[in-house]
Amino acid sequence: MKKYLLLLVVIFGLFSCDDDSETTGQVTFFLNPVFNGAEVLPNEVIQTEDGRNFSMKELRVYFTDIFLINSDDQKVRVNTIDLINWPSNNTISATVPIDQYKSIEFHVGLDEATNSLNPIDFEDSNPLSADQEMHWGMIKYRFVSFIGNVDTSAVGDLQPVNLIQYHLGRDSLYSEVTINNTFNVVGALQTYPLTFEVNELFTGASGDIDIAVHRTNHSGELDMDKASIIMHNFVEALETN
Amino acid sequence: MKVGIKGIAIVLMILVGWSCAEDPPKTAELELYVFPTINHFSSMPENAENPATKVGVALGRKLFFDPILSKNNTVSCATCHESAKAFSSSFPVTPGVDGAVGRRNAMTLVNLAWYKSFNWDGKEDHIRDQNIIPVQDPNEMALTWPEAVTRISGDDEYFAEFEEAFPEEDVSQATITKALEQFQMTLISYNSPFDKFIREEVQLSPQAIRGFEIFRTEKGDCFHCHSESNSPELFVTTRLIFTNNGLDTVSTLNEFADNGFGDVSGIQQDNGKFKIPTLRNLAFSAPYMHDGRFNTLDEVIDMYNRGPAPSPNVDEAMLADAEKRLEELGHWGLNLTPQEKSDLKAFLLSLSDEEFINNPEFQAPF
Repeated sequence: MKKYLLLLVVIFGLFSCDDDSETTGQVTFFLNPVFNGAEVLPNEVIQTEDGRNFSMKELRVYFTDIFLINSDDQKVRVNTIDLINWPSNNTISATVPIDQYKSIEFHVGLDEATNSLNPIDFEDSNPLSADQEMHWGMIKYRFVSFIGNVDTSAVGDLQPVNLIQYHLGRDSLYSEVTINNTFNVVGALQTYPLTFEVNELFTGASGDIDIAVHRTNHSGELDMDKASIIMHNFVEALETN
Repeated sequence: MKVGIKGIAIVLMILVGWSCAEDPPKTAELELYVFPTINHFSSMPENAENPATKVGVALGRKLFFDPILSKNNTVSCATCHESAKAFSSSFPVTPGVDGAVGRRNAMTLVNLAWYKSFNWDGKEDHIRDQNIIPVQDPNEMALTWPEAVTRISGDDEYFAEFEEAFPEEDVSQATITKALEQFQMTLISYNSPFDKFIREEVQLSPQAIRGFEIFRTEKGDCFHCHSESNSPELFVTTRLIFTNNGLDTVSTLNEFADNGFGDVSGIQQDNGKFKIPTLRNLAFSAPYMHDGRFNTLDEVIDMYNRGPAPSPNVDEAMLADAEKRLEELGHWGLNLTPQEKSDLKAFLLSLSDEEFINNPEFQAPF
């Protein structure tokens, strides 16, 4: 009798040790700036819609509270807070249940409570730390930092050498994004781009920015209207193809 | 030779005596120096390679004020880094041994643990390595390190103190600079009026408050290089360390009188760039800038108020903001009114810590 009992226990133990990895999969999202659909490289010369040369040097963005939503409208968390540093540190990864998801929701920026935190309270590696240098006393955290160059000459077809610096922040620019798309998460790593046409930062449904003229924005009180245009153009331009 | 019982007994007694002699304390057993807890600063970076001990700090303090480390025994570290000046210098460039003069102003020594590089040109990454240079520099203390070690080793008092502070090491350049480093790590300033204001212990004057607003907004545009939120310990930036702040007009990158960081990096584009200095204790640390050219804070503010002088590699953010001001407001500089300049100065002075310069633990021990 004891022998059979022991056998049952062993069998039960074997069955109960299901491999968890069969129910979860790895997903990675990466920021993917493009120009006419093609990947943009750092400092690559590209053109605005009216033909002016410019380039991107660095793009830093807080992506927060990313969720995948399945067909039952259940939300699966991908992250809480990540700071993308394009081009150097450009990905957000997570382990999520295997499923076919129908949309993704996330925020660009930090909610009001997080935006009020003190950067010196975090370890250097934390995305909110002082070491990231995304915090200014003037506006608290910068949600988006865009650095590039533009040619401001009359013709605009020369090598871009004049600095563009857009530092977008303040609570009013905290933006929610929902993108409907199919995300088939299986066991193996799945990689999804967060793509945006770079030009659409400056020309979009929220308004237009002449980057040859408006090259600096620190989200100061007088510049919030333009900061808002750039931020909203950015979030509207994001897609996951 | 016959060895009698007495002889054996004597030998045994000697052996027992030796074996019972107190072993010198190992480094790990030395009493650590207790640094203050400062809640409104980020965590003090650890110095695992040279943890500060009470005896090490005391030794370093003595060395700091002792001219024994100079060729003719006339110049100490404190000659250029005066405690009453927040460990900066009264001179644009302090004369060294025999009146020899270098080319740079002695930087204030404060909150050094939070810096990522040292000297105006960032030549060294560690405080103790920075200590090597002035001793041997002919324009400063002009003493070779072998001679420095000989002097210290040959002094009975120092020899005993080194044995106590570094029980597992000989007197050497390494231990001398480590002792100095341990003392310098203790030079922490955190009780200025602004610090107390942040801790909600005092109110700042309305003028200083107005000045703070100028400092942290595009009005003064100071925040690009001096961050109070990311670096409350130093008021510098954490990513940008070296920059050309628009001091001098030059046409090419080869025209700078002092290449600064460019001589360390070997990159021409870095010529004319210097480490962004702390804004703490400005009330005591005149003159200002890497060459001590400005005697007063008013001159410093006037320099920034006029806008960056043209040069090929002036700080990009400064330049972009100046260009924006010119396009949108019609002026290149900040265009601060006399009242605004006075307000900004009042704020900057609020970062000066009387308790720091009067701390008896930071004065000469003899």
